[in-house]
Amino acid sequence: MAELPNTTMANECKVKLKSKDDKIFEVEYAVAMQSQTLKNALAHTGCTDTALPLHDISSQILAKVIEYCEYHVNAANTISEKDVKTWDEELVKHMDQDTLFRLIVAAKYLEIHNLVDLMCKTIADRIKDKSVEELREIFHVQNDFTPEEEEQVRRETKWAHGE
Amino acid sequence: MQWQWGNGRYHKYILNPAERLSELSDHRDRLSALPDDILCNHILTRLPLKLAIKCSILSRRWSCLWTRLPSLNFPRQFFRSVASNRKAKMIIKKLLLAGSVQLDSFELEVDKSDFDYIWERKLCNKIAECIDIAASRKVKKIALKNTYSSCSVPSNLFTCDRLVVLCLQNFEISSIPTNFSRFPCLMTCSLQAMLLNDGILEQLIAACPRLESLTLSGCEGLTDLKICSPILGYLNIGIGVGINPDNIDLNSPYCLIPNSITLKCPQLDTLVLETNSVFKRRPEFYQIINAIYDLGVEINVPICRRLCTNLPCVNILNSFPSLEELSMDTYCFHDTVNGRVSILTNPLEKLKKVHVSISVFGEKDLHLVGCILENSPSLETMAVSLPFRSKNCPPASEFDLILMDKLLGLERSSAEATIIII
Repeated sequence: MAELPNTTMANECKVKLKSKDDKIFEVEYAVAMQSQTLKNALAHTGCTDTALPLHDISSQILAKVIEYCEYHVNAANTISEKDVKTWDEELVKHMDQDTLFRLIVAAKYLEIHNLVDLMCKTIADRIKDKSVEELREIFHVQNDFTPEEEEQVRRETKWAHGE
Repeated sequence: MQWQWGNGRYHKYILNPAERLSELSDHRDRLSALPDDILCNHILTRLPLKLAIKCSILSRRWSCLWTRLPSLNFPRQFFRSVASNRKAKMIIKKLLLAGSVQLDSFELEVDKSDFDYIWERKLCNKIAECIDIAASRKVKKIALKNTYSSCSVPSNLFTCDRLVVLCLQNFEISSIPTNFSRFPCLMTCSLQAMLLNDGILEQLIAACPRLESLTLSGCEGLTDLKICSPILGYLNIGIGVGINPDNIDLNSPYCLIPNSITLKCPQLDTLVLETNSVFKRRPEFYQIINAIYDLGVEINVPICRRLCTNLPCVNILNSFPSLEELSMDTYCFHDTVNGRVSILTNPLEKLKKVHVSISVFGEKDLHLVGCILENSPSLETMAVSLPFRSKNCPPASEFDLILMDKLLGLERSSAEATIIII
């Protein structure tokens, strides 16, 4: 098993990532380290010229993930927490649902915990003030209950539906 | 196509039209398609409890997710709304008894209307029942908040031996069960407006070998505050903080201000030591606080780097050999009762950053700031907040301006030290 690069090597090491659609992205070692999955992978391979294949992540999503990680690596010691939070909020403010969901799945796979949290918080905020009907419409959730089943669930959770 | 990242440079990748089309929304229910783990543990837990349960009506996939919530937060008036409703009680039972799913956190808040609606003892029993189940699910975090009338903490709280975080507000701990030995995993503990006594606090701290962060705010019943903790890194003591001073009877057995403070924390990095700022305007409290500093403070914190305080503190700076950052409030120096001059016996070798907040500007403040400046050979910045610089205060008088000039011209032992007025 190859050893983790020491600091000087880490500064020079560039990590190559290959998206689902075969695009290659090159990132700094520190940026890749934001992902626990990549961290573990690199611990095995060491600094390598071969691109790490990310079979389930499209280039569009991978670009966003990298944007997030890059900012957070650079912000770590230089930018105030408040400003970082504002940047995060700007990032998700107008993000469409599909991107949000794809990002969650990617962030979860790559084990970038801050990004998973941010995405989930955003979705929770979008769910919070909606009625059940609105939720069905916005998120395209199909009602697959039989009428009896639906009635039973309603009865069981009646307390939550009343005010 | 290859692009380089690093040093913040990157080239925007432009999707060609064919690719752009395939990225458009296809009206799939991606929300329900998320794995259980994310849906339950990250999204549903962030919703208010009732809404999380309501979502069960969305589809079959959702109908049982709410029973597996790993974190439960019972908001205020929750018990009241459940009290007379048998079906609701079954819901609660289902929530709590989610099989073998580990309970990450259990939070609960009760307020006046809960107490009005449910007799106090019954309410406390209900809380105890919840804690029982939480303990069996190896709960990691418990936060109990009471905004109305102090009642006893259920004794089975001490059976939650996997606790990592414990937050209690406005409860009483009158005794610790005899079969309680330790909280072996507890790392963060916050006790606010609690009614305890010295023995109980000492026993509690001794029972937490992994304690890293402790907050004790506005607690009553402590006469000789003693904190000895081997790896404690963060300590926040708020004397009378959060309590309305008009509600305090100084002669009552439950005192808010201890007679002495003993701290023995060899790994302490940050200490916040504050008093309710309203106390400063009441001379009788002020005398007691001064008394602590004259007689009863024993502080042993060899590696503490940060101190934030609004208590008269130059004397205690002598106990902080490793101090690097200091934040303080000078109001308490304007005492005519003791009129003592505070002296630093040893230079603060490592002190780099200081923030002094002055609410009534006078010569004594100059003395204090000068004292620090003369004894801090590594000082980089001294930031001073002056009252007339804040929005709601009257503008500077001529006397103020003279003092300010003197302040800026004070002698300092560190050549690099700069004084900034903010």
